Amino acid sequence: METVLITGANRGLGLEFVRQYNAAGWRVFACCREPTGAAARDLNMLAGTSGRRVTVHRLDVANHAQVDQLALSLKREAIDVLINNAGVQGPNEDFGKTDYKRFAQTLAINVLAPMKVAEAFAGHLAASRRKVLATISSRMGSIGLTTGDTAIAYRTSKAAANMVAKNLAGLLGPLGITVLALSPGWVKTDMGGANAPLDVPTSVAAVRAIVARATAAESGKFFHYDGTDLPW
Amino acid sequence: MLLTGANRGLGLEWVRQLDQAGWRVLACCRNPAKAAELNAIAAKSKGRVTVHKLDVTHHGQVDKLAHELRDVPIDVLNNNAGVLPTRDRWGETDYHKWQELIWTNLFSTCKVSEAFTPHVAKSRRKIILTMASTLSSVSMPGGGPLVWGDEKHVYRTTKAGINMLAKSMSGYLKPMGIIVVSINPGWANTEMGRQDLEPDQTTDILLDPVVSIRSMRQLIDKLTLNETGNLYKWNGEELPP
Repeated sequence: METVLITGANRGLGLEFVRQYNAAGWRVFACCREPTGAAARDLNMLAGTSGRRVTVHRLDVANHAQVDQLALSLKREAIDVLINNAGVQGPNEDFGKTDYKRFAQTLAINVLAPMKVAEAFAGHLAASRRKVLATISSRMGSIGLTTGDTAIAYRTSKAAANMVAKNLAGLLGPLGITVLALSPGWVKTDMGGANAPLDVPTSVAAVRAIVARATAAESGKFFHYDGTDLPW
Repeated sequence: MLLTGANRGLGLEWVRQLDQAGWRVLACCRNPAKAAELNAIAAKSKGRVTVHKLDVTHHGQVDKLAHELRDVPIDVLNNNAGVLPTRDRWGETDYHKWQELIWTNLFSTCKVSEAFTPHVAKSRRKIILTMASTLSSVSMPGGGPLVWGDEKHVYRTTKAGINMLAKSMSGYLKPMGIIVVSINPGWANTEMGRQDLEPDQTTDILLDPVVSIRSMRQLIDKLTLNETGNLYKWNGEELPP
């Protein structure tokens, strides 16, 4: 059975990835920080009706001991697709008032965690058939497209996350693993807000389609949800 | 010019050349008491070169210095202080060190730029420089694809962050007429550059610091607001993000 591991799976895009992969008959390792809390109610309901295909796992991606522990407890599992979806928006003060503690937390989750998760789960991916590692990035992480004056911490984190993906494409190429940086578009989630033009199912379906057709030739690329190449 | 990391390497060469060219130089370093060469230049400069204690990771110190210098216009703010590339091994990435590098390299650049924006805004040239690296272009890390066994992924990632920081800052500061560019100073024959040589490499492949700084000075002399947000190599060639 094809298997996907998703971080930040209790809400927004992550929860929709779980829904859609579940509906497609995949086995889903759905990871979130607080699997017992109210924030994971929808995810637990989904898992409860999935015939055990969807399992919920405690994972704070900034807690590297937890990442290692989960990798160890799943050591016999092959993972076809791993989606580094967990992310935060970070501080958005004006330039001149940057909150560096929160900036550091943003980088820990958006940049360091995807690398850590890749290090911990490269073996599981290499043992699978599809071998796709996708990091959910953002168009706002494109240095080439940035003209704006907003969200320096978020933009910086996503540009750095793209470099992590690019580095991983080189590092994991010899294991046959395809690494993608994917922009889901501007989506109606808690993070994207109500004014976003894209609904969650449409974005997730589009991102899944890119993952489904990814080959080694695409490794190290940065795609918009509509399949177009984004500049770095 | 105010520059950080002025006590050695490329920083010291910046001071030497600007002093000869008659600039006023605010030379910052962590430990002025140990900066013998820098102090010697300052002593002979008739007050044009002054040495200031500044640990760029210590944000309180940054704010304090910015306050002390509040009446001084700064034409060029040069975020020169840098750190040696990391040596990372796949599967054994040191995340604690990575976080340190973020504070010493990325956040220091952001903080110093924030604190000295008013000084730059009231100057004539209005330029902020950030230091990119040969390894910082996402489109072509290291000038080519990253290969198995590459050991600098943490450094590359942090430098890519600096390039985005520079691009984002350029958007914020353009209305004030401030030019922000990121420059890769080249792999120079400095103590730091030499430490990064592989055992089979000689200093012949390294760039002469005199040439690096002279070229970057020519580059910044030509900058206008049209170039803000650009990424350059030391010789003035534009680099992709």
